[in-house]
Amino acid sequence: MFKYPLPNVFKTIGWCVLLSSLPIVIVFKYVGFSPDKTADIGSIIALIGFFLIIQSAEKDEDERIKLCRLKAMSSAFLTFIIGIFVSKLDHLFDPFNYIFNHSHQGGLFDTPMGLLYFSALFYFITFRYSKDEE
Amino acid sequence: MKNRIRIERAEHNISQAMLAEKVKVSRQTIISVETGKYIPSTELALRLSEVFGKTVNELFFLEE
Repeated sequence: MFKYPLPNVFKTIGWCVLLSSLPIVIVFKYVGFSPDKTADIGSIIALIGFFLIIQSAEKDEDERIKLCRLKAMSSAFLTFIIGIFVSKLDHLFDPFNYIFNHSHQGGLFDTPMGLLYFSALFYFITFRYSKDEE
Repeated sequence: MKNRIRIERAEHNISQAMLAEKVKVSRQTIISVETGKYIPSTELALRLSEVFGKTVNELFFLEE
C-alpha cells in the first residue's frame, strides 16, 4: 500500500538526487549538450529530488512535524511567486535587468531551476527554523 | 494558552520521554506543548487528558 508521507529513507535518496542535479548540469554543459536541454534535465532531476525530500517522513514524525512541513511548503510557494514576480519585473524594467541579468539572456530567477533552488532553500530554512523553534 | 502538563507530569512522576511514548508523539513535541510554543490538536489533548485522568479543560486553559 502507498504510504504517506514516504519512509524516512527517501529523504536521503531525495538529497542525493537534488544535489546530483548540479554536477550533472555542469558535466552536460562541459560535454556540449544544448543549454536548453541541459537546463530541462537539471530541473527535472532537481524537482524529483525536492519532491522526495518534502514528501518523506522525519524520524520523529508527528502532528507538530506535519505543521512545520505545511509552514515550510507555504514559504516555498511564496518564494516561488515572488521569484516569478521579480522575473517579470526584470523583463519590464532595466534597473532590475541590470541587477539580475546583465546579458539579457535570462537571469537566475528566469530559469525554472533557479526558482526551484530558491524555493527549496526557503523550504529548508523554514522547516528547520519552525522544527527547532516550536 | 497555558497548560498544566509539566505539573501533572511531575505529580504522576512521568518523564517527558515516557509521556511522549504514551501519547505517540516525539519528546520535542511534549517540550513544545509544555513551554506553550505548540498548541496540540484535539486528539493529542484528549490523549494527554486520558493519561493524567483529567479533563482537557483542566489541562489547558486561556490566560486571564
